[in-house]
Amino acid sequence: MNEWILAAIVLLVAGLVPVGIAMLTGDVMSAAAAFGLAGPLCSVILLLLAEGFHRQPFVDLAVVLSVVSSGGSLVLARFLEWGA
Amino acid sequence: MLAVVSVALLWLGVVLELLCCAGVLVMRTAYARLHFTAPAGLGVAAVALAILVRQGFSLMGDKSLLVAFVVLVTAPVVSHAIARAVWIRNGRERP
Repeated sequence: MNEWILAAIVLLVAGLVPVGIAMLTGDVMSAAAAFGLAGPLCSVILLLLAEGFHRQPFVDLAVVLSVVSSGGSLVLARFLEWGA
Repeated sequence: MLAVVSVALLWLGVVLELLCCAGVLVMRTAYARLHFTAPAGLGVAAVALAILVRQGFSLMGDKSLLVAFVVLVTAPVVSHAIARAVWIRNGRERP
């Protein structure tokens, strides 16, 4: 295990789990705010795993996720405006 | 020397991300939580710089820079969109 995989594990356990708890607690809009953080967090975790395992093609997952997650958050915010 | 800089940037990014996560967990309202979502892009940028310092301008370093650029550009936009949605759902008129 190198420092990149260790950092990914730290972010998974101490970062993504609290964000998941924040999404499950509170009202729908504060959950949406927590969801806005989950996308960049997952992107950086994928980036760290790709570097840690020395697998260059895995970085494509982080690139795609960073684009798709921001688009998804924008669509979610638009739906929430309508009172869903 | 470059390895030390790379590891320092890596853990700087991890600490920034963890601070953002802790802020989102501690805060209760959507507006308060949104203050901690936009700075997450800085953590991604620090990690991407760490990879760039380690790998140089290779395919991996370039793609990590692309991820950092996308997140740095879109994170404030997403925060603004969610804040706008909260504003409208609270019964205020559309800005």
